[in-house]
Amino acid sequence: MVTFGTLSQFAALAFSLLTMACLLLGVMRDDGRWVQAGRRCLVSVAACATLASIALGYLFLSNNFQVEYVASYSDRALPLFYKLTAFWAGQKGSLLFWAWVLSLFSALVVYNNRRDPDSRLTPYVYLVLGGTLSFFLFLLCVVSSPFDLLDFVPKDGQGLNPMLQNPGMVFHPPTLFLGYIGFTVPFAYAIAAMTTGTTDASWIKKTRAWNVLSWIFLTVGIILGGQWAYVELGWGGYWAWDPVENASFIPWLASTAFIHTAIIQERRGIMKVWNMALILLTFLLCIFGTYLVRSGVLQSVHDFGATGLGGYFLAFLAIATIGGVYLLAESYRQFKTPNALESYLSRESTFLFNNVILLALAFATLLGTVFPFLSEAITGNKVTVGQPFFNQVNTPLFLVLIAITGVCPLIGWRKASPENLRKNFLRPALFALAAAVVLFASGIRMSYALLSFTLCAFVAGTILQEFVLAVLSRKAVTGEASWTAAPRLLWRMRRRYGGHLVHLGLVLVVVGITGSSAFKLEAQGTLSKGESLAIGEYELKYENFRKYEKLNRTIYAATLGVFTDGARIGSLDAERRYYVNARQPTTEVSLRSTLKEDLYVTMPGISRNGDITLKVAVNPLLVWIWIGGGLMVLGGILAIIPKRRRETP
Amino acid sequence: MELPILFFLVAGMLVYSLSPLFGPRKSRSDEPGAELRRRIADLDAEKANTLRAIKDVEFERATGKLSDEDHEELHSLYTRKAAEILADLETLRNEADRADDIR
Repeated sequence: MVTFGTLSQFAALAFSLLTMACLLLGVMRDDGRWVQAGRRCLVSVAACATLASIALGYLFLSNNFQVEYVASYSDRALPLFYKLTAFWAGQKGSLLFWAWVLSLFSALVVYNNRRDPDSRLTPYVYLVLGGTLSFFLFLLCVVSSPFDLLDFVPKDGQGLNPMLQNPGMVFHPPTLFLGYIGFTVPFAYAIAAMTTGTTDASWIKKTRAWNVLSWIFLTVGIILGGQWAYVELGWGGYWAWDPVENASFIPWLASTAFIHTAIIQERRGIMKVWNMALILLTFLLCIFGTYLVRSGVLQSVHDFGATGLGGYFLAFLAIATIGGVYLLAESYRQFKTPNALESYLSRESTFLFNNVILLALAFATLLGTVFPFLSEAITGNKVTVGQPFFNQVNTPLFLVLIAITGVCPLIGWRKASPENLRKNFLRPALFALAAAVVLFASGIRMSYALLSFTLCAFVAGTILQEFVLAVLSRKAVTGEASWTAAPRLLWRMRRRYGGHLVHLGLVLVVVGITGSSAFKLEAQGTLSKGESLAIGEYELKYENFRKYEKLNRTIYAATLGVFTDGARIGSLDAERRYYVNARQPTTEVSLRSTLKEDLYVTMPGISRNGDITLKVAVNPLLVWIWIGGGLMVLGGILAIIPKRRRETP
Repeated sequence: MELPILFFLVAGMLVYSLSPLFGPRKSRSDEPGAELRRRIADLDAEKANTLRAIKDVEFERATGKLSDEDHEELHSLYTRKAAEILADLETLRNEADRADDIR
């Protein structure tokens, strides 16, 4: 199976190079036969990459530890589920996963265009996809193959890192990869549009689902990563502005900006150059993020260390940047739209302002991420900027972004009259003011927290007003009852309300972030059996201690009774685990989560006499981050459900 | 056993991929009616966009974001545009029908 996998990779590389050769000949000779052959070669790449992936999966399942990659990330005791997901646990396997998914996406693009009469764009789209695939397959075949063999056959593998044996971590990397990879398709269309001088919004329409879907995957990946960090790493937080976390967040910000201005191009036919620049930036940031994770230039708990791939990724990045910027400069005159904005009081202007803030956030985060690298290059000393930098710079920008999220839907396209603005702003503003008064009266004095909650109330008020007014208007036209009009409106205008749902989810995320950062409580203590530790309104009593074996680990568990006002409301099991083959202990988080707050317990130490050391935190409103994240994803899905097409006569 | 299977699979893919090259030469730009079909598709997309813009204008007036004056201006602008597109579409479709008849 090793030779099968290796040869499948080489066959995939050969087909991807053939794809490019056929398409170039087809375009240069203006011969449709070569284009068709190139298209079919691209499908064959997907078939070969699938064979290689099946081979690697089989090697994991059959415990073939002579394969260095399998021996590094699996062992005999590893549960079947984790054995399959160990596929993408390391650098080499995740590279194959990347190439495989990109090849499947490319085949899907070919399928979607099977009846497309417009053959101007597609050869160039396939060419870019083929080129990107060739790069990844080259790395797999020549530099970093998951099918490399050891000189000996170990009796057992080293096992999967215990921290990766968590459902969140199983799905976090592939969803992030799906997001990164997905943006290759709109990038390919953008390059094709610039090459062919296709100035209309057809490439944006064709790639809308790809953009939003990739954005959804990035969102899911980021949320799962945060959730994993929260329940697995045991430091009590979910986001540490770690370089690898930032590497996924920066393209997320750029793609969010693109999704907004793409709407303007679709509606108004303006901002063409800006959109081209944004999609190029998003793709380049995805590749740059991959470079950060795989080059070893920055220290992170999540990276793959120095893999020797950094130089290749930099070269690819340089080619894509130079090529993209050159095409953009060449096609600038064609794409430039005169008199873009009719009024500063219009939705277009607020979208543009939202873009400026999103890009400022992306730039600040990028600067903080690469600062160690820049400072070392300039001064010779590696200076790292920590969480305070990111929090101080990004928090005010985020608050402005939230404010714009509320303002945007209140303003109409093209231009808004002051009279309409006043009328539309009044109710949400009053609602936000009332929320601020209630919060102040309930004792909240921290200015940032108060401002953040007030802005969240403003956005929620805006969304509510939008929906209620639309339902009333539908009722007036159709005579339907509210309970019929509301869901029908939601479904019929799902693109619009999907967007609102995303914004509502964002509001909940911000509520969760604000609550859990501004009002967090922490305590630490060592307890003997029967003793208690108090935090906020909770008291934790050390009741029992157990040691037992389960699957591939030995578990040491302390049972803690949870009390409030002297009444027992439940119990928590704080655990330390010792994974047999990985030979490393881990601390498992024990969590009592409610809509109001999370009680978060870890047990960093167990002494010989049975005393335990506990680290406890109360994180108010934190669960709303996950609920809000889920709502954002649901909104995104709702927004891309296609409408049934009516046949044109 | 695995390698012969792989060999046959790859050979099959190669035949599938390169078989179009053995057919008659097909110029991309000279494909019959390709340019006309592309222009019709473009206009169809523009028509859908304009109709959506008209719907949006109505919706925004209904939800209080557009004054009656602005609504009037935008509505007539988009309606005029939609009429022009429909007329162009009609002409192109007739042209396409004629080309089909000749073929």
